[in-house]
Amino acid sequence: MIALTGCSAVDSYRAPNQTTARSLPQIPEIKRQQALRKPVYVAPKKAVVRAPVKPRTVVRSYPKTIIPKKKVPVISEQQKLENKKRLVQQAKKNATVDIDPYSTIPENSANNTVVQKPSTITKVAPATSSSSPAVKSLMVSARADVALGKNRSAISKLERGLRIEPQNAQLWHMLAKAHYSNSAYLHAISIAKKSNSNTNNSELINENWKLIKLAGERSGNASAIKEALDYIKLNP
Amino acid sequence: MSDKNDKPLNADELSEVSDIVTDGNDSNDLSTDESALRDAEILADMNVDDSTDDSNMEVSSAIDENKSKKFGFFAITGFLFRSVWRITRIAMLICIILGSLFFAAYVLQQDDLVRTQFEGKRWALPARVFARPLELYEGQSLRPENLQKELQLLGYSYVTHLVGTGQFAKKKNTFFVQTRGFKFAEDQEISRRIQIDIKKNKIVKLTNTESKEPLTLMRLEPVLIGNFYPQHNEDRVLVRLGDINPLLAKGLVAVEDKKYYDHFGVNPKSIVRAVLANAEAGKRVQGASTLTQQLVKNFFLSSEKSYKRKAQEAIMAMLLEVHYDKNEILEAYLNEIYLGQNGKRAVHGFGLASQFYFNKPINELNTEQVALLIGLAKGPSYYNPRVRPKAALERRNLVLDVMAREGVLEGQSIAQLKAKPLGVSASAPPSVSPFPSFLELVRKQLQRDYQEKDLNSTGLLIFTSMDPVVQINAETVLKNRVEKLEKTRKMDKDQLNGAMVVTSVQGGEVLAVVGGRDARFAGYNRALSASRQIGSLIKPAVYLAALESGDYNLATPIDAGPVTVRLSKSKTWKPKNYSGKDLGMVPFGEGLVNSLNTPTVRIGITLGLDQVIKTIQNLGLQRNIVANPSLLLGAIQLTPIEVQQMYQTFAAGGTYTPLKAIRSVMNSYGETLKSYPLVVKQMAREESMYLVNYAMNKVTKEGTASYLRNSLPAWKNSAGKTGTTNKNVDSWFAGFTGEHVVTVWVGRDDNKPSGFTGASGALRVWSDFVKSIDTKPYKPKKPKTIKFMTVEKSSGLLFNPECGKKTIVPFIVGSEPNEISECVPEIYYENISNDAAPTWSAQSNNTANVTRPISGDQTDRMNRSGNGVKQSQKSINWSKSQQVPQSNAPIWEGTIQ
Repeated sequence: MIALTGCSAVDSYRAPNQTTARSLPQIPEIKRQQALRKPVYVAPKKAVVRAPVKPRTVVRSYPKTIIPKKKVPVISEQQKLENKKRLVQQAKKNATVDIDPYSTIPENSANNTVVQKPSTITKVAPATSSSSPAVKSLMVSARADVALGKNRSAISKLERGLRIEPQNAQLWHMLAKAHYSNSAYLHAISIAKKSNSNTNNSELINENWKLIKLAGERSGNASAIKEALDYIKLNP
Repeated sequence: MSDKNDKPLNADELSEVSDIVTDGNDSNDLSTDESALRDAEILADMNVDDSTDDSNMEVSSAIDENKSKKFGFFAITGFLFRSVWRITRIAMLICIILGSLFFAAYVLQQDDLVRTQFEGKRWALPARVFARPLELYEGQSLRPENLQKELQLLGYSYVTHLVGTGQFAKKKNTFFVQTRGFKFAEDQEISRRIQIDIKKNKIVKLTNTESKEPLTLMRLEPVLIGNFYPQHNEDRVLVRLGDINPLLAKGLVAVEDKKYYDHFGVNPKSIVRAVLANAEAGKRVQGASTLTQQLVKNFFLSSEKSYKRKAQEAIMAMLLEVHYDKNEILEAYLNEIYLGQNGKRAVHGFGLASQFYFNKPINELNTEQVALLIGLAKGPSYYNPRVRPKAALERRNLVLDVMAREGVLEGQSIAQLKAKPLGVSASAPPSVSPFPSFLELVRKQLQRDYQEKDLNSTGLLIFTSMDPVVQINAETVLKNRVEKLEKTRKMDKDQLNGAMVVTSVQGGEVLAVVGGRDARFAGYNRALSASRQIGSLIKPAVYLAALESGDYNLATPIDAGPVTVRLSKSKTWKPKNYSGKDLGMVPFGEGLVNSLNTPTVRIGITLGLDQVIKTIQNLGLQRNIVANPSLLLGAIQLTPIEVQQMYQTFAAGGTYTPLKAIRSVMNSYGETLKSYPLVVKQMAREESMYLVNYAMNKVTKEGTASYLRNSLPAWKNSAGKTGTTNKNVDSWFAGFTGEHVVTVWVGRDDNKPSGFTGASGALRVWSDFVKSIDTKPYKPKKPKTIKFMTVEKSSGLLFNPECGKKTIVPFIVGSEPNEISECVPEIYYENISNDAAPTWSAQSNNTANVTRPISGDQTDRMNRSGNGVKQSQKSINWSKSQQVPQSNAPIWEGTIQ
């Protein structure tokens, strides 16, 4: 049974393309031995004389891949222009010099600048337009005048301040406000713009544009309103 | 006049006080003696007349009755006569009633006259014109000598120790000043005692030495620079009784009318006494006019001497007393009395007399000075202290005696007072303004808003923007430099003249006007009236117009070769550069810096004259400009003040501010009637202005005005433009620093060549002036949209480090060059063929046909710049953008060849 089954088992393990050797008489069951290796003659290795200087090279073989042929790029006119543009931009960038030709000019005769340097006032005061005490006192009383409705008086005080500090954007702004409350809207608009051109302080600029917008609305000045709206749109 | 009613009449004794016989000596001082006499006479006459009338009537009626009884024969006649007589009597009665009615009406009318005149406008007051008040605050730049000048102009006296107002003391550069204070319209500067420390031409410390309140900002009083007088040339400074030294009122009453506070307008006792005294002496010895009568005489009546007028005077005096109290009348007297003569101007009132004789306000006068003024009331010409000091001194001492006797001087030693000198200022203040040129400008501005009559009779206070220190500087500088220039050319004397206008950059306020070499002489005011060709001064406007158009930047190459503009079919205009040379291609900016004519004409013609004219008008020139190509080189006649207005807009970075000489006008009650607020209007893009001003700044560094580079210190950085007209007739320079805009014209009144270019003439004056004043450097704020780039000089393209000459030029973002300069010159042959030209020159309706038939020489030059194509294309574009002129426009075609 066992044999049978074994045979059958062997049979069943027969490789499909095995030649029919099973038709031979039954061989007593023995433990199948592994086929001994026949001694094979090995030719003695030839001593390879290697050239000592020649470095050993490792040859590897890679799977062969198909490398598509590189296309020569065809630059369109537009691209050419773009490239040129980029080049020009680069050149422009290089050419741009951030200078202010007037910055080296002393504010006053040489003696005074020397005196001014060690003083700490310049350090404390930020770059924004800070007003001198004289101008500040005028601003305070002008503000009070506006509150009391004495616009004319306020205007004359602010103008007095501007004679002392002509580039004080805050003063210009207050003057615009005073004109606004005096119902001189056109003046208010142009003076607020003047204030803008004298400052980099974005808060003040915002204030000015708001004022311009209001004054434009009051006086029906469409272009002023538009300008103001444009600004407000860009700087929300 | 002083009376002594408690003593019997004694003419000699009376005259001792004040009634010195002056018959004939002073006709101005209308004699009160005579008036008293006539008063008395007229009263007597009236009485006599009345009595005769009555008695006549009674007598005649009695006779009638007798006659009718005796002679019946005449009954009818008698009856007739009687009835006639009755009618006559009734008529006479009616006449008397009517007469008294008329008299009453007359009195009422006089009453009305007295009241309306006295209450209403009492005096025609001249308008006073003031300079700007000097602001004082810590950090202000102020030279000590200028402060001293200002104080002296204000009539402050230099003392060792401050005692009263209007004085100053000085220790090195520290000033101690007791200010007078001033009432401005909106606020008041009180009188303060201050200390001003000046170091290195700057106020480092400003303190109020009397109180501890901090003093951050204050003003000195404004200097009076002139007056606009009424037609009849009366001048006075009004004073209030409460404001004056009480000595003056008391002394005046003591000397002139002792019983002033007791009588009712006329003093009958003194009249009687005067009549008797005069009768005794046989001539007019004594008068009896009260202060009220004197006032009435001066105030309402003519100087005619008659009984009628005397009566009227008495009536009016009494009426005045009925309506007004003594103090009001006395105050009016103080202001009305005639006290001297200044040129053709009459000095009225004690307020002005104090200024006139002592150069001080009335409340700063000493006792003996007050006494002198009181004494002058009697006869200002006879006792004129400047002409007859001896008589004046005697009179003063007499007045002092009377004052002492009447108890007016309390606790003051008369002997000491009498020993004091007269103390009258050596020369009278000028009867005409020392600044006639500036005043003319003020008047012109005022005439826009005021009637002539209001201007010179309502006592307006006019606050101007004049800076007396700058004005005086400008006057001296112009005078000296013009004299020097004259000498260098060996011209005849007084042939060369000049004019100057100075304004502030931000407010457009006129600080000084010099109308000629002789600034004190109110003659031909060249600053306002001399219309001269302005030459190259126009160029910045042309360049501004070009930059505003967006077609140019400062580096755009422009052909500076010869140019021919075809004006009509037969006429051509061939302007040349000043040097007469063909300068090849130049960068746009250089045309302005070196004041080149041909590039300017090219730019202007290409742009279109309308555009240029519009720009000029935007800059503030309010007049019609004829569109003629020669305009581009300044063939337009402008006055210095008009030029100033143009350059004002440049200096303010494109904001137009109308020039103004007046800040505000105040009435005599201290209310602002009109203020002239600061007006600004952006008329040109800030960026374009920045570029033009950059070029104009270069003018003063390396251009036609490079003289300034060495003559002015670096911190007085400025920008400006020279102007020269054909054959060197006019020499101009207009320019600005950060604070001042100054225009100078130098030339001859007869329009003959002066031989000076803008740089050798006017520029010298300009430089001298800027050197002499405190100013701020020209340092504009760089707009955000401006960037500086390195470009190749000749082509105006981006600088290529490999080759070329580099310059740094500011550009408006968006207008910068977009090409890199190439090292190898590209060669374009015949890029523009002559065939191409007709396509656009054929457009006959173009105002300017810009053809560029380029000569070989020019083509080469252009090609070398690597910009040939660009140029040609551009020029085609420009010509296309030319506007079609209206049919009635002047026909001229500009053809550039």
